Amino acid sequence: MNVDIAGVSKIFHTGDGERVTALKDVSVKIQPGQFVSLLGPSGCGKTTLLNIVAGLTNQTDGNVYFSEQTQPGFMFQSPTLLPWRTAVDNVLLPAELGGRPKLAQRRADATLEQRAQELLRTVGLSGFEHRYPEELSGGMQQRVAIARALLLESSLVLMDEPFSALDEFTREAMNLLILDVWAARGFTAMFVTHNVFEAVFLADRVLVMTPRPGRIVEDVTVSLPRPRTSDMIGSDGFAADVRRVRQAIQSFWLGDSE
Amino acid sequence: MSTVVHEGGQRQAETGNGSRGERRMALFSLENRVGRISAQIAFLVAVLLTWHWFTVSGLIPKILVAGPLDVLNSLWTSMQDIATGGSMAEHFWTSAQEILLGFAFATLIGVAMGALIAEFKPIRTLVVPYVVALNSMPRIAIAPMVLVWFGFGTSSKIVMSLLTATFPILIATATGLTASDRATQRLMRAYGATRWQTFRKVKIYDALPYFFAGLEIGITLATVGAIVGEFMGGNAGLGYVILVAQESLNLPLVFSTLILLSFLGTGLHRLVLLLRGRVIYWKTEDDEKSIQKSK
Repeated sequence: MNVDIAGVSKIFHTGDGERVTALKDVSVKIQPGQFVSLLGPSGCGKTTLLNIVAGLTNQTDGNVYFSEQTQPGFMFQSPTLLPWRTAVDNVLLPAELGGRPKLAQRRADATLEQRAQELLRTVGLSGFEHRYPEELSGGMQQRVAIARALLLESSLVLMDEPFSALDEFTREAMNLLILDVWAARGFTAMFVTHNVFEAVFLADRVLVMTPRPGRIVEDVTVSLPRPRTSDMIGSDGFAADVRRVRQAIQSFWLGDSE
Repeated sequence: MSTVVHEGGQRQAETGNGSRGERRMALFSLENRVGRISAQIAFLVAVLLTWHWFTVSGLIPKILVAGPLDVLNSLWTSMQDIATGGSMAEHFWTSAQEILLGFAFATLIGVAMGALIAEFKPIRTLVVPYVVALNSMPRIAIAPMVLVWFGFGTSSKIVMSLLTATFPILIATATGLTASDRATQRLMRAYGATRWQTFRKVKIYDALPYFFAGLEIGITLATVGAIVGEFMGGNAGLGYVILVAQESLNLPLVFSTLILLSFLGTGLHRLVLLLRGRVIYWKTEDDEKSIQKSK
């Protein structure tokens, strides 16, 4: 689905009456099925932008338009699984939430439980459906979170540094997994990260953001072909894309400190 | 060559010694269950022997402290009486009933008020200062009024018990219900959870470890409250037995009834722990939130 972010600004009021401009006049159009990375150092407002798209934070100014009404899927930095629920029950959680009409619709869907089981299989967790989060490794917990984000077949999935707490190898496996499920389902993806390599490897477009005030300074189109494979990470094309993104950050970063 | 053999032999001898030493240590070692229990029993025996020696030697007059043998004798008589349904049984079960009913009401009130305080800010603003003020009022000072209002029967003891036990449960519930981490709350909001859904599916579970910590304190205080109530007036219960025994200078009975009370208290506390184990089936981040995991 289309996400059209038009002139969005966000001003926070701190406790001591100070005004902090977290986002200033951010505009970007995201085409259906696109995978977009929001890349930037901490404090650049990338999470705030995601929260505004998610409807978790109200913007001070501007608008976000969606081409259809949908409940997005979510992934956060921590898996945020409920420890008293088994893996499959955690995956099913989104189906139990929401207002009356939404819920009634989902309750009518008898295949939900089956879909949850299938999703767990897709993310490589068959046999772990009835384990509690405590019994799963960090990577496995994040796999459950992926399955949960996909349960409602959302046409938009919002991810806020979902793999930043994982080790390098697990992260790479997760990157490939998320690309797999994205290719198979074709949802629109917004992926917040502060890792340049991850941003480039996953995305069609890397939106480079800088802080004070938070804004998009560069919209880099990644030239790597699809499907992405792990040996592309060493390729010249990848290196070239990474360089372009880094240059975009550095020029503003260095300019800022002067 | 010969030195190697020699070294080997020596090492063997050393390890042999070591393991024998370790085995002897194991009996009283605090690292394993058998060792712990035997150490605990040994400690008790040492205390009893010292106590016995003090009373027999006359260093402490018998009129002030009963000897352990007299106390054990009295305890045995009381327990037989309880088993056969004598007058002691009536006192024992009266106290138990008062404590349990007081505790049950305290739990109901504590949970209801704790939930209201946690969930509704106006209530929190209005009520919390008075709750704190009431809590700092010594319950024993309220006892005479409670007796006037609720009479000399069991109901005044139940009220005393609930008055003492409510606050820790209330505070634990209120704290627990606000303990859910921000990430989980963000998740719930992101999926459009209603307030009630977040309460029912997340907050209650997150509150349970706190709640049970409150129950553990509550059950102990419920016992205190009921016994204080019995001290104030009445004609039944273990507190009443202690009072009467003290007036007739029956020190062994005072001591043995105190021990009975601690049996009752420990038993009830165990019950709470048992219930906790049943209810909280998943692993919590800090299982030590149970204040006394006496094992």
